[in-house]
Amino acid sequence: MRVSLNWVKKFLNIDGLDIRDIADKLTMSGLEVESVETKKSPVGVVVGKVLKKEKHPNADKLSLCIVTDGIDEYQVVCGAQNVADGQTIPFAKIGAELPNGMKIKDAKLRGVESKGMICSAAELGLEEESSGIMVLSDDYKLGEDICRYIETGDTVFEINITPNRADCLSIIGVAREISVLFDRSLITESFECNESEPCAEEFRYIKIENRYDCPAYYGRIIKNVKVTDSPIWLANRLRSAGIRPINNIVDVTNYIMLEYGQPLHAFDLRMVEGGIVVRNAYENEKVVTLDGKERELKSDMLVIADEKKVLAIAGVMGGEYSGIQNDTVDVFLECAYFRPESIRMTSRRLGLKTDSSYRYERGIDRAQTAKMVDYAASMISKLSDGVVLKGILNDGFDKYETKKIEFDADKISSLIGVQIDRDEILKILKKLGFEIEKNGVGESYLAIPPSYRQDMSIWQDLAEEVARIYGYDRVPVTIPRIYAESKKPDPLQLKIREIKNVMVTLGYNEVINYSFMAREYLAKFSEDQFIYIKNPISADMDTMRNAVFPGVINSLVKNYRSGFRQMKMFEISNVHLPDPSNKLPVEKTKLSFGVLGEYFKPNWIGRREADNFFYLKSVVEQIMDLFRVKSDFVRSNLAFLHRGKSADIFINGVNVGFVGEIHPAMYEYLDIQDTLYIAELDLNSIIENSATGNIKYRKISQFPFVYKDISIVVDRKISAITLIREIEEFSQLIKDIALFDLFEGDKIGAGKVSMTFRIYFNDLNKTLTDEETNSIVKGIIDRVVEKYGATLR
Amino acid sequence: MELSKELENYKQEIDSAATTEGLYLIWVKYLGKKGSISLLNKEMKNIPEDKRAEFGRVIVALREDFEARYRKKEIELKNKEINEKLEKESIDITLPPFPIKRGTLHPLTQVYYEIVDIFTSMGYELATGPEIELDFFNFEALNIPKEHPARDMQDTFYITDEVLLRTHTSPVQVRTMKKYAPPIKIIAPGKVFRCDSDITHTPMFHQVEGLLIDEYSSFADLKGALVTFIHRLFGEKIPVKFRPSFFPFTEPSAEVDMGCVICGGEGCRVCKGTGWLEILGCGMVHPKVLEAVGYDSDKYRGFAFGMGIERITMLKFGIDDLRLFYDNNIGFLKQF
Ligand SMILES: [Zn+2]
Repeated sequence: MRVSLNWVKKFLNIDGLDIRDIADKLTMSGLEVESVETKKSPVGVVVGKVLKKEKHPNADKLSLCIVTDGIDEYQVVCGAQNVADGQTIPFAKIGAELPNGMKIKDAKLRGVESKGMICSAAELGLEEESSGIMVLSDDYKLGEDICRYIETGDTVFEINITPNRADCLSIIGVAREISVLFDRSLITESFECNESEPCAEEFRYIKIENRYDCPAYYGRIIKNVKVTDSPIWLANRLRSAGIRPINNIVDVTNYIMLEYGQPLHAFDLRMVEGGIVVRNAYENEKVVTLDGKERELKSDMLVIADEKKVLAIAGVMGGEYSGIQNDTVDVFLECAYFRPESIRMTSRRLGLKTDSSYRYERGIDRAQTAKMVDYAASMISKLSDGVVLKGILNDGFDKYETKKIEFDADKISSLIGVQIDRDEILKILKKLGFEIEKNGVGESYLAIPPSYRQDMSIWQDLAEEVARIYGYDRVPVTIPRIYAESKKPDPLQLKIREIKNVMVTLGYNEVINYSFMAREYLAKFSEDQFIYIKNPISADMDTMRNAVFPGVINSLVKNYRSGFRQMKMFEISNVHLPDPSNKLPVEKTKLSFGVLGEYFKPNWIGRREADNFFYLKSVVEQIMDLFRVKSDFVRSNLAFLHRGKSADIFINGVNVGFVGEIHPAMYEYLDIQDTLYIAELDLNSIIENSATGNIKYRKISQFPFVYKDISIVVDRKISAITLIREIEEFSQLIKDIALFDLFEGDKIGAGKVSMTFRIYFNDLNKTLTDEETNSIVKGIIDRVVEKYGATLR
Repeated sequence: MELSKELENYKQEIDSAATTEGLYLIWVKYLGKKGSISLLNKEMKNIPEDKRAEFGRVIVALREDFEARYRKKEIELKNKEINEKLEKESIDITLPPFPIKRGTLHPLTQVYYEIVDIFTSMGYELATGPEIELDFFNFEALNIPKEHPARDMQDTFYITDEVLLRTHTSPVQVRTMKKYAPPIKIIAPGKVFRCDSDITHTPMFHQVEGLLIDEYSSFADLKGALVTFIHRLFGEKIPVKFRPSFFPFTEPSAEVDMGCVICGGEGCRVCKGTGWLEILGCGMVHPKVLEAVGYDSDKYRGFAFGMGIERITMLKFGIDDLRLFYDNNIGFLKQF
């Protein structure tokens, strides 16, 4: 909200106050001043008079004027068309400085000397654009500084008004606040309206059909108005608040809304057939609003109608045809109170926010509604030469009930955390306009908030009022004492942190993607149902991801497009899946990691030519080790993965994720030429299926480990894990197995593979002899030969 | 009693030995089974009896001299040979190592844990809750009924009329209070969502909120908790100020500003020339919130606070563009 200090001066003497200090105090008491704009006053511009106007000898469009400041006469060249003999005008003498920084110097225009300048309103900083010079009242005394007569310079505060402070959506509200902060008294106005016969009732009536949403509706009729531009001072006030002046009728309604926070609306009386009916719209009833758009209404929206049609959407916006036109003669003026929730609902559903709806939905001062209709009517009549008809039209009104808030000064002190004197608390509340009553015996009081403070309802509200005027900065800094019971930390949260550290150690960079992505993109990876956002920011963010890996792939591919060729990335995030049996979806926490390009960046050391799959698999196993679980890898048939180079991961028969290279079709879709491997693990499932309880210590053998190597050739179809399991389970004495040589080739026959295992043996109670280990090895060989058709190499 | 002059040659031979192997051959030549010094013992029988003792002493002296020279030379040669071996085996230790480079935690994660650690060390416990929430937990229970203007402060993504993406982590507070009796002292960090996207807003961002409920806490305690936090996060010297604000779920409410860490309070672009940065929102929990979760609002009270992790991270690392956090550019990520 923009607040002109010139305007504030109408209600408050701020002489001697520092502007910076006003801004700081407002901010520190809850009205955050976000910026301070200063508009300069002209210097050296006086009231002058045009004594004589002649044509410029050398230029058709210029004129030559003789201007006096009451003492001397000056020859001035003027370019304005409207300059004329006898006009009183603002005259900038040599040496004057205008608000835009222009300095007036001696000049020669087309060969003629010019000693000063006749100013337009724009040049004095009063308008954005002027069509000619400004003509002043002949009452002004010649030679006086024009700032004595016309308000020129100003300071405008841009204030962030929080939703609770509807009372400060007005100049008077901010003035009231400053008056409290600086202990200065507020200047109050009374409103009188000169009425004339006949009675307004003879022309129109008001009927309220929905009293719940419209507890009060007042109307005035003003006849024989002349619609013109507003005077400069009024237009200027509106501009200082960021509102464009329109005409002298509409401008008055805006002026009073800005000054007192009461929205008003002026109708052309010709358009009001019969009377005003405040009713709910008919379902799908249509109206074209002032902005030229057709709006379709719903039956719970409140409208202002006449006997035949909708004239306005109550409290939100007027209709295009019912408003003030240039030829309007008679005005119907509306001043009402609407229920905030009703206005907000209508405004939100229509997507239509106005200065009026903004104030109504926050709650205006109900006590002043009847006064404002008089204020507006008399101001319109003054500015437009109209006649206010006798009587305020209305259809009765619900009496506004004052609240009484019970409070105890000690409780307020205790909540704030500093002992504030009861008398000081009472004083602060009174300054803020509260009436205080004693509530029986003891320390209990009743506070009656002023009508404009609709946000007050409980004693804690009073505590905030006291604290903010007392000063938040004066409240001491203490340390809370609390003995909350310690709860067991969530194991998942602990593990997430561990996993992140492991992933970083393993060389992965963490990414964070949005939880919503494009529907078609996600559908490339899953045929499941998704959760959709009803009001997405854009179509590429309309679907909640049901997996993390599409995000990781997205990050890898995005960087690939920027030219990066070797990347390892991971992400841990919650994902969402529909749950038909619940209102809320299923939320799961997943880890995904992916590698684009070579696993290690190019180096001089080199590495064995193994498929990236096995690097990712080792990462999976490291994560499983964190949870102390063993996992099984089973060939995957996920559609987006390479059938031959991917695996589903199981713990105790439960699928907890996958790892593998993406499918050739995905390479084409993503348009990348380097390899992309991706894995995903469902952390909730892993936790559910992992070991709990403490690790049980096992005795360490004092006797040496011995090992034996065996090389066998088997059919390719026999998977390594089958052989490893077979060997592992063969004897209790086998403690570890390493596959350390693996090859295929002509030497051993087509479709065959040679594997060399190193088997480690150990016994708790003795040193194993060669005979003992040899006999185990022989047993293993016999078993694999018999069961898997292996041959010894 | 004179010994052959040749016997004395070992001195020169030892001196000129070039390798430990060559040196050993000299040992064999003199002190081996058939070595010339060893053989002197056999000559003993040819020596007259009265001279034998002296002859014996001469042999011992000779042997001792040999051995002393030999040991000295041996150490010398061994050192030389080890040095030669080390020299020969030397590698260029400046060659790059095998590229198992450490990755990086996202800057938001780093700051997230820094904040969480500060509060957990102050006795707050970590609490989490669903990211897709019921309107009740996100709004109604927090004293933001339908058609309340405060809903404008948080543009909401809806799944259905009743289900939405949480706009703050406050529903975690509500859920925790519904589950546990007071006293309570928690922090709730996590992702939140608002229907807003421009230079200073991303539709998803991270928040940390805290909640303390007991029978005695005051606004002064809230100041204490947050001043301590800001000092631990940004340093003891940072000035902190509280100014009145509005949140539907707290009363009184405050906005917390700290001295600008970019310019040190002089005024800069980041602080819009004010020297202050808005960093936290907070207040005393509104009685309606306590009542919504079934607490006795006459008996219990407390405070709540909330902050955006993105903003703090930007200030900590001097990041000037919010969108970088979700671009996931590897050049950006690798800096942290
Ligand atoms: Zn700064």
